[in-house]
Amino acid sequence: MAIADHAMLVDQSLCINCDACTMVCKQIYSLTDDIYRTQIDTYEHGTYHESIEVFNKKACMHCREALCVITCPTGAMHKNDDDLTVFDERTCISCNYCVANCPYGVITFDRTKGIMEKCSLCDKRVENNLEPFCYTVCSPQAIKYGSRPAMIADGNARVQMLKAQGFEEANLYGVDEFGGLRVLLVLQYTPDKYNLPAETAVPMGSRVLKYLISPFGGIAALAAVGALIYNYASNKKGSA
Amino acid sequence: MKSDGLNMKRRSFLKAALATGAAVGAGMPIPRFAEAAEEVVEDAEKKVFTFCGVCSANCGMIAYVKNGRLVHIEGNPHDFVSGNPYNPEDGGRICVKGYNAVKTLYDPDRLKYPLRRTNPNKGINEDPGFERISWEEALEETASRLKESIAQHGPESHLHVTRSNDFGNRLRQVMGTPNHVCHQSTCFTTQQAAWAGMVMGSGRPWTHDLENAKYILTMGFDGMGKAKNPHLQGLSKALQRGAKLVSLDPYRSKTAARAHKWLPIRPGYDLAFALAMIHVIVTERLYNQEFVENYTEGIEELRSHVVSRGYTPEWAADLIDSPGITADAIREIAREFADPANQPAHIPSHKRDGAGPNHVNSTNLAQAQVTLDALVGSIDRPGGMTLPRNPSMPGFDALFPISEDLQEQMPEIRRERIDNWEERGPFMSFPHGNFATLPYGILNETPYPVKTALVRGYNPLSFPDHLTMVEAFKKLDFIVNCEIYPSEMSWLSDIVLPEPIWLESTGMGPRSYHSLYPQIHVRNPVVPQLHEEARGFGGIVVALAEAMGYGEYFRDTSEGGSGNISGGKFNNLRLQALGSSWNELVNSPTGLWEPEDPADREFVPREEFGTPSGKIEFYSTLFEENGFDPLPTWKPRREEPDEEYPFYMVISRAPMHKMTQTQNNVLALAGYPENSAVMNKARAEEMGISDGDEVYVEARSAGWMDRERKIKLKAKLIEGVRPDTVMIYHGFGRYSSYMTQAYGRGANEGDLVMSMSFDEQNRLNDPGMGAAMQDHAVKIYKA
Repeated sequence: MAIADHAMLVDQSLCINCDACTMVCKQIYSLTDDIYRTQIDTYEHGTYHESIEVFNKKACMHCREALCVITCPTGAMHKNDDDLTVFDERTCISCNYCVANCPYGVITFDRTKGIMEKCSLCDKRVENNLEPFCYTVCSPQAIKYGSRPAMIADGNARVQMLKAQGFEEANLYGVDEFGGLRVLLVLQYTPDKYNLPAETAVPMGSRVLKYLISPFGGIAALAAVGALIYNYASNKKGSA
Repeated sequence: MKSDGLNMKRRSFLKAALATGAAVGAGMPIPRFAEAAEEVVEDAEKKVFTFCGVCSANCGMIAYVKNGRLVHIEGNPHDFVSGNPYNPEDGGRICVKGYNAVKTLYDPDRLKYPLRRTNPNKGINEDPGFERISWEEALEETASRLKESIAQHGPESHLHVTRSNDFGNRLRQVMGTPNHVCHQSTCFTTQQAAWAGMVMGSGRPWTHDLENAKYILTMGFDGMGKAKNPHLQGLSKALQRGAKLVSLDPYRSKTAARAHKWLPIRPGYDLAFALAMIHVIVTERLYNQEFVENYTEGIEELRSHVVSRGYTPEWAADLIDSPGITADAIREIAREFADPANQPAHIPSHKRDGAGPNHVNSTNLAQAQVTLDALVGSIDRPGGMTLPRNPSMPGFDALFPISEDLQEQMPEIRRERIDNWEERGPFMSFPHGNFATLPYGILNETPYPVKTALVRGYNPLSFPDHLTMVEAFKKLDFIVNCEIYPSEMSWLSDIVLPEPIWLESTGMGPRSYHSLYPQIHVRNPVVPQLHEEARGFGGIVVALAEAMGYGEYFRDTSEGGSGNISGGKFNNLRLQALGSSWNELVNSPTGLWEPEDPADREFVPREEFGTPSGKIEFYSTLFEENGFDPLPTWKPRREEPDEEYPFYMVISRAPMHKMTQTQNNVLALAGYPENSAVMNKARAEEMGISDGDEVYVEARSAGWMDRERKIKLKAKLIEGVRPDTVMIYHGFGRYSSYMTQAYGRGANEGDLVMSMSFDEQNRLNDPGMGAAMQDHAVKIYKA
């Protein structure tokens, strides 16, 4: 099966935020301090004995319709042959549009390296018929990796089990969002409880922007202005 | 994924790697990122079998070495804990602590050569002023200090504070001291006593088959959050198979967060819950009649006991007085637990949970849990609490006997110990000892003065009443410390001897628990020893014995043996007794020794148990003979909160930390950098405390040692903890400035835990002799 038909399934109902995936990734890819390609967020809802705690393993979802790719003025953020969202630092102008537009907040600008840091779904590994590290190292086996139809079937079966056990809000996230995500999530509760975006389609404005700038693809004028403005604004914010 | 599929992957990968090599050779661009080379670890020049040394789960590992450096570790798929020998195609996984060990190996703060203290003053604020010395000097000085002290004060004036180790045990016996003190009274002696008294008669206790359980009830057991591989994997697999998980815990642990039901029970009251469950199950006759009839003794005594004592659900619910824990809720959980449709059901328990030595009633709770597991027929049955399947091998003394001549020269060993452990009756035969009473014994010179100590791998931070233990260590004339880090123990020591880390070591490890049949792991050095001068503990002991004039006791006296005993010889002889050899183990394609006959690799449930009756004894005759409660009986905490000290304190661990071992690991710190006082949000806000505020947590000065017990932490406010409870993670509050990453983060909750006088320990009359680590109340106020 083509790699483009592979998907990852993250069962958030089994994740315990042990950081095995986070730290193996950080170690293997020698990430800068305080920079991660995947990280686990914790959310608490309700009060005291009726409260719940959920974890969201955050990393690039490799959206089919990826806002970071659409809004990148230079093509640095692009889809590779396997339909994974990957980044080429040689054409990046550090405008940070991808960071600002990512609906999942999973792209980080690493100032010390001058690159956009994000999950590649271990693209070099999957090119070599291996699986992404977070699948191979997840101690509770909350992460699965395989063909997309198999992952959707597994995810739906788990959702049915959770519903039967009283988790009425259980759902499979990512089948249709942003044209379909390469990373599917089993959720025990509604997506908002995991701080996942309510709007899951590419806004018209972004498509128009892409249409406008694509004829000038590779010309950095507009982007450079944008980068200047963004950097000015973010520096100002940082010093405030 | 099939195994041949995996092989295909490896093969096709090899082709790809060759193609890449050709591309590079042809002058095509090389990969953009330097780190991309690390991404594909499967082309490593070396894959090394070893097993993890972080905790006692002994997880089998495969280490990947590139350019001479360890780049990645994965689980051995043939191991019972990391993987599944019945189904190795699923791959092997270890826990975050094992993965992070890459950074411990290359930690620049590790000890590199022997050190001697130059500052004569000892204490938390006294930099030892270490100077580098040679091994010759270190051994010479250690040997002469120990010999002189023993000559002057008697052999019992020396103390071993180490985990059980064959080389260390022999040295201690040759020196003639009864004082070998380990940590287990802060860990699992309570559960061990209950299992010894009711099921095993002696020896090591439990293993769980979580994966095959359908109903799991936990009592302060955070198998997921402490992230020990067998528990985390087992609970997760059970959940994936549709098991129901119910969690009693004052704090919404990770296990409670993933459970189908979380009940925030009052700390120290799980026993009341368990007794009421027994009441329901025996009075409604819901138990597994076949199992109880064939494999247990004492069901009638148990029934009349819980009835006459009135351990009804109403009694328990009143006592526990916690949200959601009504008499009906207890009844419902008892019925679910015993429901034939939910079998196998069991209560996993492991070390520091409700039945671990956290409370003075922990042994009673452990008895109640064994009782419940036996009532539903889940002892040594699939999906239940299973007894270990250890390979049977001869011991050190059997393989290397001491000649009669030499035996006669050994001093007689006194019975009285410096930690009162000999008062534990038949249960003291376990080579453990008591951290909780050690400071009392040393400081009061009771029953005699102790002057010297050999300490290995333990940290004073882990002792109950840590500050008092520091005073006790200061009182000693001489301490030698074997370590990999310049820890807080090194900080208080006179001579510090560097050991290699387990990733650099050779050895083997029988799978001591979580195994449905016997396995032995090989430990190969993953990389050559980084610091040339480090020496393994066995070698240190032999060299020290030689320097002390005890060299004769460490000669290889095995058949045809010559020279000194070594770990390598010991392991080879043990394997030969199994019909194998070291050579065979090192060359094993799975990194494991396993029984050859497939029939010996099947799980065979036990028909007989180790008690005097050969049955599981609800009414423990062994307990009765030794003056302990033979049946699970209610016992209150040592101290309840009051107006002045209104909080319970609960101690736990972050998933990426292991006690005091991991706080200098930069990856573990990135995940959890500093401990905090975890409080209920509404309660804290009522007290004017906001998230992130600095607070003091203070314990009453109780017990034999009058001192201020107070630590400063940042408050972390959450919903998921009882309003009357503060939860603190262990392992922080480090003061050795040589631990550059760990130094100065958070505080040590062990400062708030009480140690015990011998009188108090005796008065508690606990066959587990537990340290009761969280049985006192605290107050919290803004700093």
